[in-house]
Amino acid sequence: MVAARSFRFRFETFLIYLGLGIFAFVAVTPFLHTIARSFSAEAPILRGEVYIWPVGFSLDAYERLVFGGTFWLAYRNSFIITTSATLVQMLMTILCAYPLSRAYLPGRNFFMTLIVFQMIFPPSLIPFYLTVREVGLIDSWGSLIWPYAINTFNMIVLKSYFQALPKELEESAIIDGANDFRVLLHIMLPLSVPVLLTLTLFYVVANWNLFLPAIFFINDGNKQPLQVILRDMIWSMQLATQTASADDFERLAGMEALKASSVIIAAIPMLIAYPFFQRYFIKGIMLGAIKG
Amino acid sequence: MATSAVSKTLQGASGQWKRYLAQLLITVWTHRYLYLMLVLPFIFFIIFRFYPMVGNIIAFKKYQLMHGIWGSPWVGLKHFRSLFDDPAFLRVLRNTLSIAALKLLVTFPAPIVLALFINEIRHMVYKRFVQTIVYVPHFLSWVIYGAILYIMLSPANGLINNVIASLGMEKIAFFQKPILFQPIVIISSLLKETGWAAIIYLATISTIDLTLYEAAIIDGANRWQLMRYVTLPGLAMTIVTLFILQIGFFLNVGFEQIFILQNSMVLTTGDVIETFIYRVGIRQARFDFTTAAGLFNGLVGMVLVLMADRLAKRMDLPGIF
Repeated sequence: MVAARSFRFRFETFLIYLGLGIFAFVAVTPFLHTIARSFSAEAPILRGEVYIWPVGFSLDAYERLVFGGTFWLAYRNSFIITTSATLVQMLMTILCAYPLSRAYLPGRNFFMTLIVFQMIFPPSLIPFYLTVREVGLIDSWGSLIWPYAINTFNMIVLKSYFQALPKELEESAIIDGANDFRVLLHIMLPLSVPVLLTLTLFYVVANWNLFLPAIFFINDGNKQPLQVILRDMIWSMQLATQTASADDFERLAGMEALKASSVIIAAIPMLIAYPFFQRYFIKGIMLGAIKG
Repeated sequence: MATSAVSKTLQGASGQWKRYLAQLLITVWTHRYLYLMLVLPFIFFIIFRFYPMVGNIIAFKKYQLMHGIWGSPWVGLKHFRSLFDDPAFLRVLRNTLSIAALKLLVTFPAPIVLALFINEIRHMVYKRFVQTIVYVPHFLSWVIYGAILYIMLSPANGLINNVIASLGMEKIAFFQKPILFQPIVIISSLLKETGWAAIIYLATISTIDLTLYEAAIIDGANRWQLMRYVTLPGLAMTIVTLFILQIGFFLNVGFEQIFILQNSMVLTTGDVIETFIYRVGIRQARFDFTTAAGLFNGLVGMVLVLMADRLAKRMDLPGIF
């Protein structure tokens, strides 16, 4: 009886471990396959011999990308967009969240109602697009920054955090003659470093992965962020391999490995930052969860 | 006598009113810097959130480039009528509802199961390993994930088709078959986002009182019973709250994901409201017609969110706002 039960117990445990193992394997295989391809010679890829380990190890694809130049432009653009957008967004989010966290502020409820209203009834794409055009931001990086200057969800997380800080700190500073700017800068912000860091990372990841806004607002190929450049490269290669004839073979040589290595090069910065992000993101989810 | 009483009351009232006004002005002046902080955010919301909201009126106009949003002539409900007469839009509506329903049925419960399973792992290294792997894809963009899918599912030499071929079956052109588009959308969101979505459930599980487990074990509960009668009820609140939230944002089926995965061959099953608005609206510059579609989408979305919020509050849950 006891033996039977403990067997069942272990068998169930085994099933759970196995199930999770399979899920993790299925989730990670696409990445392993892409990495393997990017380091493989072209012929084995075309013959379908590459699974999750490189066949006929080759660095040709990476060499072509590193010396090609397009990716440096893409990195540079995305780096500039990410840093400037994140700066603007953090500044605007703090400036919006702090006053709204002060319950005594006359007019606060009016402002909050407006914000909740635009949350449940966000502007639809066309009027939004026409607005960005009227403001004259089309084809400039400003179109990726200003229209997205405040993420309402992040703002509300920060506002709740400010609200939860003890009131006495603010009161004593005011009595000592500090104005609200000083209170924010010297008392509230230093106390909010963890949440500020988390929100910064939220913004950084969103900005680095930014794609649709650039599709809407940027036509100039030299100003496109990494994601758009990557997509255009993959698409043109896909098209080239699909419509290729025999005499194109020279031109298409290495296309499959090139596709895979482009993806890997585009993913590398996020993969390097991931262990750091993972920690703070989980904290951030908890912060959001408190508010609901 | 009576008159003087009335005038006294009036005077008192106006005196009170004055005091109140003075108090208000003092508060406003003391906190003038707080208002100063709000100036930039306020301008942002006006220009990029409320001005476009007013711009929705072009759904009722014939948009002319020369006259802009304000000067173009009114046409009443014409665009709405042609919208609901347009077979392409009806198709788009059907696809949106179908993908939304699939996401609710499949991708909503998946993280709950995953969290329950991860919670059962006692081996810490294995636990960290699984968690790390299933969270990663969330951080990569849909462009990258989409490209990886294209590589995996390539008809010529993708991994999946290699396996299919080695099993002696015929290769499948996954991205050219309309019938496969919605399954690809669902499975790819499962693989990319389930791990991440499980975090909130894992966090909730960690707050469940351990004595409940101890009591259940003394009563002879086995592992499944602990999961079924202690952990799952502990998650009930979170599940219901997130379910209601999901209903509120039912129509947000994932613009970026679908835009990236779709192509002209799978539009019959793959075109959704947002991609339709982008393609017909911005690419073909039919601003007025597609604004009608956007306004319709926004109004339905708003009703859903308000209903979900009402529902949550009726159930004593935190609600959306």
